[in-house]
Amino acid sequence: MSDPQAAFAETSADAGAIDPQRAAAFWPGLWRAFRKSRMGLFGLGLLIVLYFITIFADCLAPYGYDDETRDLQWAPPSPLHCSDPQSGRWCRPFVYPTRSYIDENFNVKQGQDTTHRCYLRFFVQGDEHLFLGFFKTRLHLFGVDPPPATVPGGDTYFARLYLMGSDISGRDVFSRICYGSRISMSIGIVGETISLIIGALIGGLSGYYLGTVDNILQRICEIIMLLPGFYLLLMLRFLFPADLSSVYVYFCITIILAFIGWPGLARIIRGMVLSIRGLDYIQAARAVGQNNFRIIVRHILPNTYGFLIVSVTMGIPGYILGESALSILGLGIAEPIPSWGNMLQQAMDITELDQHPWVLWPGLFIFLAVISFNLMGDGLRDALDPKRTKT
Amino acid sequence: MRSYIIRRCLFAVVLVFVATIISFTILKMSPGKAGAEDINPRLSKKYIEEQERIFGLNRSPVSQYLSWLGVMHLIGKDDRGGLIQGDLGLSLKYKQPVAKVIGPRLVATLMLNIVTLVFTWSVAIPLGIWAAVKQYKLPDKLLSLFSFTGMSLPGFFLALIMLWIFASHLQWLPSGGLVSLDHDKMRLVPAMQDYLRHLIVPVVVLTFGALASLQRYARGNMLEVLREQYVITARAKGLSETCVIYKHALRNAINPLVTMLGFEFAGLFGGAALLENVINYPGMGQLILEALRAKDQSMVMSTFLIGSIMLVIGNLLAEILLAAVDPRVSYV
Amino acid sequence: MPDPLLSIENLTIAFDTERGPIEPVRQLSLAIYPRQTVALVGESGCGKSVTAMAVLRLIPQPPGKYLGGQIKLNGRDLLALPEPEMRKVRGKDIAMIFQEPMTSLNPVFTIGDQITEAVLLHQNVNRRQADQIAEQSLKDVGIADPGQRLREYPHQMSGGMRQRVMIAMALSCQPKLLIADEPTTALDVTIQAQILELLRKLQRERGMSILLITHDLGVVAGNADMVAVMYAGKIVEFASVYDLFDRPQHPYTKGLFRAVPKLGATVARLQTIPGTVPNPANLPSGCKFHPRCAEMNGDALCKNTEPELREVAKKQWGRCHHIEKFTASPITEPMLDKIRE
Repeated sequence: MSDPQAAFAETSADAGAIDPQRAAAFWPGLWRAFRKSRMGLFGLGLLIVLYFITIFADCLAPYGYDDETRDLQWAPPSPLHCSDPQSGRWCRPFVYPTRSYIDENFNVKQGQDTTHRCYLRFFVQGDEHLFLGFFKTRLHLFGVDPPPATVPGGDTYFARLYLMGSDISGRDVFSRICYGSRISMSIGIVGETISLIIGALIGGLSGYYLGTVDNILQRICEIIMLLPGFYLLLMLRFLFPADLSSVYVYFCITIILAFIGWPGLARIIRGMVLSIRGLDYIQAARAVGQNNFRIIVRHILPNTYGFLIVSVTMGIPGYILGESALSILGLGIAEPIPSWGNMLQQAMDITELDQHPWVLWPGLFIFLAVISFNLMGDGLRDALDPKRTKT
Repeated sequence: MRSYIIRRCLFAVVLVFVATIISFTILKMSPGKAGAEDINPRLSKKYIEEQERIFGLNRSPVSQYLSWLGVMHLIGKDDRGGLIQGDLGLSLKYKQPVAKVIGPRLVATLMLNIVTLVFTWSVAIPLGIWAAVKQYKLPDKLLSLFSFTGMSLPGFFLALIMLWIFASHLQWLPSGGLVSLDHDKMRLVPAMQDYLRHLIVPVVVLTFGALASLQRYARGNMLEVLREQYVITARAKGLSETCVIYKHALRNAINPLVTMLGFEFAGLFGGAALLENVINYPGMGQLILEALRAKDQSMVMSTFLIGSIMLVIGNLLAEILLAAVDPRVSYV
Repeated sequence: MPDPLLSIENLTIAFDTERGPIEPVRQLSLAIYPRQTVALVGESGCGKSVTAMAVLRLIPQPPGKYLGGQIKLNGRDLLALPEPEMRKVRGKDIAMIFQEPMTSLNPVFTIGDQITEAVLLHQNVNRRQADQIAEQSLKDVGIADPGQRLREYPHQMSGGMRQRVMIAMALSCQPKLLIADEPTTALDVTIQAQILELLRKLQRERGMSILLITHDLGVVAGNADMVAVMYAGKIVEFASVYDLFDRPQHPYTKGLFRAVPKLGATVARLQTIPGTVPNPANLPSGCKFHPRCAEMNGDALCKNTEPELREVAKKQWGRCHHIEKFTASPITEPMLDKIRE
């Protein structure tokens, strides 16, 4: 998604200039204006839901992300029955346990055991996990009753609530999506922060000192921006070994994306600095003798917040999409750690996709994450500049 | 103005050079030997060394780069012509001249991009203007929803959904690639139809994404222009509303869009790359990934070179077009 | 007494804003006679620009609404005309020039294009004749080398010259009424004088009327025949320029005159009208000026009832309950100098 504003940043940095004295009223004022935008609020709500999933993934996910059940690979979404089949009355939702047996040809087959019912229950005890990274607990939001005990030498029973089906290894897609949200929702923030720091530094220096410093830095920005982005992304990824462990890959991707992303922010910030430095009260500050650093921090920076917030919010989807792109190609987060991108790898094979379309679920979540940031960014933009033409 | 163009062209050439240096540096810094995929313990050492000699891998990095450029040939130390003479090197993976391999891929990608560009622009701009003229009414709101979705929906995801619905369920469209298996046996018209059928999914996906943001941009521009004082002057002169919108306002709103044309051309090249890999479309995007995995040196550099050239040309086009259509812009 | 050229009767205009509907113009009535210059004076926010735009029906209809009244040009109600008929009036019978010459001309078309466009629209001439008319109109406004200028773009000209071009464009079809919305506010003082002199000259030559919108009393003194003072969407005083400057009746007008610094007088502090122009969304009750009125203090009548516009002296109208009780403030010499004979 190309952002034309970055390209014309030099001419369009009308940052809704405020004076630092009124900075204290800035944030509440911004919130009040933002509240008027329905789309923005919707985006914010969606984001809150997604981050809720991210934080409480351990509890929300009924199963672990690498909880394999080979016998149940490619299981479709579990049919949740809400009514008694004989009487037709509403009852507590349940699933039938799956019976894994060996048929006469010695093939492993699965069938539903309709004699037992495993009810859906809330706040159940499941696998142990570290709640919020601190507390050891076994609490999960929901789960189903355990299946009837497996008699030695007999059929094996499973009772699984696969809300969104299971994948090739029998792992619950819904649980993996919950855990996968951690990657997508965090990489945007981390990456954008790094990009912001670098971009602010370079853009600020460039815009403030001008001259040769500005020239050199701007040429560097231009070169990075003019290199084909996706190709550069791929090439930089191959700078690192293809089979790097996931933790390293995470940071590696973040750094690569930030490296490709900072020139855009630097340009915007430089544009803002340029337009602000000419303002009268900056001249006044200089005339009174304030030193450069104070001028930058006390006078220039507060005026940039508005425009920056919007640019940052609109920049985060780029990171989410970049990570998904790399992961779907197998170059990103690797198994077994789920990321919405690498879960979609299984969808690239058309035969698998045909038989198990529920592998597409992660894509929907990527879409939701991106659109929520976009909507929020748009709402913020309207809140900051009410004169702007809006829908 | 002419000197400006010349200066920008020179900068473009320098930029492309820098791009090649960057790509070469990154390549050489990557772990793994070039062509390591093919290394097979059963191959004799002599054979491997011979291969290395053919592909020039036994030389120093600087010398390899200069050889690719064609500088070495000029001073007689290499038999291959190099970039200067249009020779893009030898592909390690395909064991053929790179140019031969890139050719059809480049055509495929260009075909995709140009068709997308044509569709996008011919639809987005009228849509954007229509939305601006009908601001606050239902068409505008619907289009706004549509464009938000288009900007946020990842292209690869949309492609997968389309393939699921149209290729596997309804069987209307093929499931990827550029041609069917029996393409060579087809006569002209069915062959053309075959191309078109394969192009539908990628073109629709790319157009959807590009259309959304472009339409929004066109609308935003148009709205801004409609608020300008000279539009009121035009109305005060007694001109009809149609004339005011389509002659006075549009002419001004178009200017920034014209520069976008250049950027779009540049950007599409990269944007399609991911899509090509996901739906197995044999274009430049798929090629560079293969080349990177195989550490096919010349191929990677050549692909990156072409990508950079496209981008640079696109940007140059944007700047020149802006200077041409806006009389206010003067370049010292 | 001939009929008025333009007669605005009880015009009310409303706008839909985020905070509800506001009425920047409320039951406004005004008459402009042929060959007359009427100045519409007031501070920012009093509704004068809205009035000017309303005459040509240039108010955008979604946020704006014509709630009532008539605008009669030679007896024809402009508000009742269908749009194609109204377009024939714009630029031909009534023309308008605006405040900002920098942005009033389309930057991507040449001057010649823009003027000939107007000419071709309203007059039955061919392209060459239109070019000649355009060139002549540039000459009429005092632009040297008009042939060359026709091929230039607006950004190649200075502000003063652009305003001349605007005037040329407006007058190219010989309108009977020229509405000038603060035509000199954005220009340097010396250029101001030139433009105003140009307008006076053209008015004499062509016998047209001018509705001059301004907030500058100096401009009024030198250029107007009749003056209408506007406050909070209504006319509060209407008189000939001599009578107004000699004996301003309404407290607001008097306040305006007192606020003008006088050459040669030494004062410790400039006299201002206390308070600010009321927010159209939040108008005071009764007489809209009463919170700032220096003459009356807390009079119940002023607070509760809005006064009518009454003829308080020969050909002098004022909108105030207590207008007869006031004595006019004396006028000072330097202001008299500016009044033309």
